[in-house]
Amino acid sequence: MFENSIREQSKIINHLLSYRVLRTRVPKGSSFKENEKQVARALWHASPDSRYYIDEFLSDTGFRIITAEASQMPGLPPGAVYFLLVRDPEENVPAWLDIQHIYKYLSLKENESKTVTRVWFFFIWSNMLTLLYTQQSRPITNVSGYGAANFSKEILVSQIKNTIEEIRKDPTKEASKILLSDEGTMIFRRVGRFLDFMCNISYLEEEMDGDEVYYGQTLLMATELNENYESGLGFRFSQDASVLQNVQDNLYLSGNQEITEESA
Amino acid sequence: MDWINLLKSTIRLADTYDLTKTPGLGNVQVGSEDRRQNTNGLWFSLATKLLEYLHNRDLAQPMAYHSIEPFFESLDDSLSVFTIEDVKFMVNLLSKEFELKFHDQDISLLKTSTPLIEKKQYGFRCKLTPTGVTSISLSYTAEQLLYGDQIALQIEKALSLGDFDNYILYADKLINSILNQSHELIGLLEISGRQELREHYKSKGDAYFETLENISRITGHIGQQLRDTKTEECLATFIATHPEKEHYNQFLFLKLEQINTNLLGFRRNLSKFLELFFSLQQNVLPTVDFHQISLAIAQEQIPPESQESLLSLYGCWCPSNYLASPANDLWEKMIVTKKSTPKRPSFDRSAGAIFLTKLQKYIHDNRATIMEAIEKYGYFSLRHAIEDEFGLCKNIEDVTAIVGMCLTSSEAKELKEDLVVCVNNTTTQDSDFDDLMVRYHDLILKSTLL
Repeated sequence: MFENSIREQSKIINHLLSYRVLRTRVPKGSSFKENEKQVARALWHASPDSRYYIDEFLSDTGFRIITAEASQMPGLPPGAVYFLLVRDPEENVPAWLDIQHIYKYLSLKENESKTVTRVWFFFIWSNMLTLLYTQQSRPITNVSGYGAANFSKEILVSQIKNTIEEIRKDPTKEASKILLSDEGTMIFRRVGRFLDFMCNISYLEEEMDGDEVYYGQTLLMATELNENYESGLGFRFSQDASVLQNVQDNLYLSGNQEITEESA
Repeated sequence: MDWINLLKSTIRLADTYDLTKTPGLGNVQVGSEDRRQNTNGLWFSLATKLLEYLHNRDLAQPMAYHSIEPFFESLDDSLSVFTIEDVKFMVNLLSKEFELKFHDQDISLLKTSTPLIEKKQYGFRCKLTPTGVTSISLSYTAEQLLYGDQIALQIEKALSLGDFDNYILYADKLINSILNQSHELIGLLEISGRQELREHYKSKGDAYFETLENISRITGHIGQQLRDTKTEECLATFIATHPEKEHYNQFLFLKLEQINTNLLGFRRNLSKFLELFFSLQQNVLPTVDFHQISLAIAQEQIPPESQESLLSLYGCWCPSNYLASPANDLWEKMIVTKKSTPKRPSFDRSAGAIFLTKLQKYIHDNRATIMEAIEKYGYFSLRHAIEDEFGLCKNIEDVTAIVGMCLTSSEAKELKEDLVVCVNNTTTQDSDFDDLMVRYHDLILKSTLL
């Protein structure tokens, strides 16, 4: 049982920062990450003081824990409790939290510029969300719909190619040129890396259906998108105003990030 | 009574009953809906109201035949198009016998048991048949949790009678009922629509809380009863007669715990729902047009910093101090070039043959000790043999080599040896087999192979 030791608390925080999810039980066919079961139970049975310490520590570093129980959220194994680590937009981004390192993993060539990688990454990301939300007319608040949301690599690639065809009509901007320059096989490789990355950060999980591999949305991803939506993409997103207006108006700018607005 | 839910499931089942598709054709597409006529549901309303009327009359005067005229008189404005002849038609329809055939021979349904209403030989005085009563009971299921305390009482009764199988059956029924409605509430919190259901929870919120209180009180009694020596003795006798149900010792407590946990979850969801409902807050956010966002990226309408900020906010980040540590799993998976999967150690046949000879000799010399250990523990660990000063092998590489051999069944067959060394299953379950991080004390001889 949990002994409230600093070491135990560190283990909990360490696991959460590494995998972002702690599960007391896993669905049939899935396996625990190393020591996950013990660490999750330690957090579940943590004394109020210990829990307060963990929450405070995480809060000061820009995170918070959201708890989901099987009795309240569909799709979890009976009696399971999931602890999800999400970014807290109200807090400053910690210095050690970085998306720059991800570029190294996602770039296809050694000398690929960061702009190219970023444009592609953001582009694939928004296309993935089109499949998970827009095409299903699924509200961002529909967290429990995560269980039904999935797609295959081929479907995502096809969605990306269709969007690129729309971009082809007006290829004047630099970003458009970047997106139009990649060949089909390159897109497939980029999507492959992107999906690997999403699985590594517990945002997607692979589902085998016969010979087919599908990628299902995880509860963590659905929760974090919902929790941070108002601080990010904004709740006033409507068809009437332009995308730029909405995104820029509602994008949360944290204290230690200076965002320079570039004219479109 | 929630007839709509009953209708939904019944129609879907009737669809499968009426299906003319030839088995084995392989097509998985369902195609468009092929329901005869999508009417406005007026006749269905008339039928359900008639059943409810007969049910109420039956409560007042059990098993009696009732006149349909008061029913016709009480029809509200929404059903004013119907005449008394229409009501008589409905009585005739619901009292008519139809033959239903079932593939499953265990289901025997007499033609006479298909009507929902039974009428007198002449005239239109009628009452519910047992099938009609069943329909009424089924229509209650959507509100089952409101009657959850009744199920809890059934659990308590089953326990006091020592009927442990039914205890679990009713407990599962209650757990399912709580979970379904708890998850239904989550749906109401997250998406718009289903106004009738929202009103239902609003109007019956207090009734739900009262039921939850009742269930909690009853489960408290059940908990005490489970700890009672009389129940313990009864359970011990039950297990003695049904040894395969030994797990009931813990299972009964587990079910009770599940009921209590799920009750808490339902209570939290209901409170959250009512709080939002009464505060009139709009909790549901619209669907976001992410497709427009992807087009905006191409048009450079979203500045690079904003993109990074959004990605970071939506989880696409890594702790950099973790990435700096080569021991970190995330680092290995993401940054370091994927290493080739460690191969199983190849087996040197000549060395293996020497090792096997040694192993055979060791087993021959120590057969009695080994058999004793196997009888006692179910297996014999080779650790003793390897650690033994005069024993088998002191070189860990040889040990892993033999594991490599024994894990590949074809090689083991080729050697035509009866001895099979295997890896302790409980140890290997948690680890990746391909990595083959096998320590020598994980090696065992299985009893069946000696």
